[in-house]
Amino acid sequence: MTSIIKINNLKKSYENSTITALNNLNLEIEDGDFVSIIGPSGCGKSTLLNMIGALDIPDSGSVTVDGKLVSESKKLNKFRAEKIGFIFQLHNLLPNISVIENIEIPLYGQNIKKEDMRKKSLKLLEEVQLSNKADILPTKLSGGERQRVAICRSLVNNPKIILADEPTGALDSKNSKLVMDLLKKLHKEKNVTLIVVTHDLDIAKEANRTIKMLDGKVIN
Amino acid sequence: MIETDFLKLILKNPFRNKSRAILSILGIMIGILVIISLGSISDGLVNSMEDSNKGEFYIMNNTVENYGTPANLNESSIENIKNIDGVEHMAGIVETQYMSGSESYSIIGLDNKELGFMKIGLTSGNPYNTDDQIVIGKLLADEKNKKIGDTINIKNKDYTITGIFETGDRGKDNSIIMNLAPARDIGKLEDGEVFLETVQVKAGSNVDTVRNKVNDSTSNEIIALTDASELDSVKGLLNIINSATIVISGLSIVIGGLGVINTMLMSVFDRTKEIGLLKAVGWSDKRIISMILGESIIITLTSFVIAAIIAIIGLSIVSYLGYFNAVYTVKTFGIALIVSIVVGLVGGFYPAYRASKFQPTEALRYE
Repeated sequence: MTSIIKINNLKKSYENSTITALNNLNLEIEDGDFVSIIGPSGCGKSTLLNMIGALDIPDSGSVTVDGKLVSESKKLNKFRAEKIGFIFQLHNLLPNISVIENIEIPLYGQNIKKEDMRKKSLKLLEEVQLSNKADILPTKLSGGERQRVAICRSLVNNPKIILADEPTGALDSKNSKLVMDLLKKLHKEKNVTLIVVTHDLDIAKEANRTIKMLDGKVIN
Repeated sequence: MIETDFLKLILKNPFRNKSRAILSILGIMIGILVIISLGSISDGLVNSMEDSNKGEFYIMNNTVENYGTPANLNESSIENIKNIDGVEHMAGIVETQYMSGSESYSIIGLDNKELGFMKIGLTSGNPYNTDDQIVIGKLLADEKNKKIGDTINIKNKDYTITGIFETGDRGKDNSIIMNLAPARDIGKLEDGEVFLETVQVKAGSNVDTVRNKVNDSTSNEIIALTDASELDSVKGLLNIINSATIVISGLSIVIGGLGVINTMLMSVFDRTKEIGLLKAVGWSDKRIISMILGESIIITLTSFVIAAIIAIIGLSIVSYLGYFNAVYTVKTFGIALIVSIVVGLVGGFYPAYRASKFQPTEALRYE
């Protein structure tokens, strides 16, 4: 297997914090792997995820994702739109547009025909058993259903990597299991690299590989 | 090309907080409403002045009598004008007021053959033929509840109404029109005297050229005026209205712009997390700016549409009641539209710029 993510000597600290969020971190993740990242609060899990997702820039070191040195690139919105799918603890769905329109949001500006966008989004909704709720507003959905819609949104651009930051953090145990089962299934079917940051050891165990972090470093 | 879904989002977003959107729209709408109203009234004034004076001028006595009113004109002193090249037709007019107790009438004396020339169109009945017959304006007929066959008593003499006319001119439609002789009698004018003489210029002749010829051929006691000279004085007033419109447009841009900045900034900060998400999923800074600017312009365009509808309805009612005629021109609405778009762009730019500079990681953490 080839590495899709290569991180070398990554350092990141924030102006208003005495803690170094990432401290000389080195890591490689293989293409198509399912990796969980665990560790106590403030150990740098989310910062690492943001670096991989090209949402933040490091103080030093390098991050290469799918052959692109994202740590030194500018204008990374196109890279994110094409390569990355994000799932957050809170679904962050837009409340005033329908479920299916929310899924299509990452495709805006990509010169994709409306019919193709719709077809693709509906197919994803079918996969998460929500095709009957395509045209309603997200405010009418339960928490679990909203997170399933957020998963669809993260997959609509056929990303190579899905970055999930505490995807079950706001869900009850039943919905947590449902969402994780769904993520595992989609990871297998779509052959994407799935990286999940979690506090929950049971969820971490579901991954092929678990990375433990402490004080901005990988400790295993 | 703007995708329909993106456009739909831009159309929906401003109304997520309805009360804020409504207040913002109302604030901008008032400025736009004033711009459209003043513009339409000013255009209406110019139009009615120009319309009423096409191919005509009038002759008056240049000397002033009691209370600053012009002295009457003796028709015999202007007989020679009929022979001036370019003069088609002339009609003498007597204008006077009759007041007795609570009764008050505006009276116009005009030869019955000249009713058509003076554009007095009867809506019912017939012109007067004798000196004891009159036609009255529709507003007067309605006010006094008079109909054809009824009489009006003036100076102890009954005048029979033979017809009712309507010109759209509030002053005329409140008047009585009769032959010159009885009008002279009521207004205490001598035989052959008129208040003014209207002159119709031949087709193809220039009004000012003919008027100048008339002025050259008459004594200083008589003056020929085109309505253009009156128009010049009205234009002074119009210039004031136009200047006011420009000042109000400027103020609308500043005040409306500040209102839009406030509304859009609040909207952007309320949606910080959402904007962070849009940036995370790959939206460019340019797209974020387009969305916020688009939302801002939607607010101001909505204000423009509502202001235009209210202005048209309001001015139509006022015009219908006869106070003045508003004219709706592309120029007036164009200015109002441009002002509303400029307010949208000016007011939306800073919030849009701020939104585009949000760091996605910080925006997503924003509570």
